[in-house]
Amino acid sequence: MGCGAEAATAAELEQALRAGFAPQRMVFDSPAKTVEKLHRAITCGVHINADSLQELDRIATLVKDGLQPTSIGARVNPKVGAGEIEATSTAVPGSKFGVSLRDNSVELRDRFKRYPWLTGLHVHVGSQGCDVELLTEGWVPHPCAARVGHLTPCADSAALPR
Amino acid sequence: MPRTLAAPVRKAIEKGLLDVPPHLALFYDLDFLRKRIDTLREAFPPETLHALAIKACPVTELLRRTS
Repeated sequence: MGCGAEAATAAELEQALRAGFAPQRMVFDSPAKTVEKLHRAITCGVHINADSLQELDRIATLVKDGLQPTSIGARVNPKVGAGEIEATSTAVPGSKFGVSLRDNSVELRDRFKRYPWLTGLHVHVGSQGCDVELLTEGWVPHPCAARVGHLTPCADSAALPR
Repeated sequence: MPRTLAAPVRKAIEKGLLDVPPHLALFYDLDFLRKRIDTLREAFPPETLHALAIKACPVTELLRRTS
């Protein structure tokens, strides 16, 4: 049916590859990726969304060791608040998911400056019980968006290398 | 769209698919799934990648058919 696949664990990544998904149509989004799993995902050629600054630095170590980076993004968290289901809400203030745009924007920009292979942003305001207003509030123009297609960069984006 | 299970279940029994232990089977309305995917696709620009969350239904045969 021509779909891509999103893997949230290393096991799902392997399962999807065996089920016949093309690596270039796959996204690896696990919230905690070890160096070993990142190595595997980069070697496969799937798109990776790093969930933290630490994961970006792990990828940087692999790149430094000679691995050719594929398509890499960073998951950011706009922390716009909870949906109807508090327990499954990913954008609450204390959320463990993604790089907090509120608390770690400076560090994120630093990574975009240092890592030319970092070319994507990932936002997931969820999960379920979120109305359209809350979801769209999650779209925050960010200087790092300058490197990312289809997003509108904001004023000081010129400071970042393309 | 037919929403009845009788025909596919009868067909599975006739084919002997349920004779094999543990006598369990999963049934999916693939036409319905395809229509849902097409509806989603039509709402976005053609170059959009729609990546199916594997955790939503990690059944390998279904993944094989959606890939």
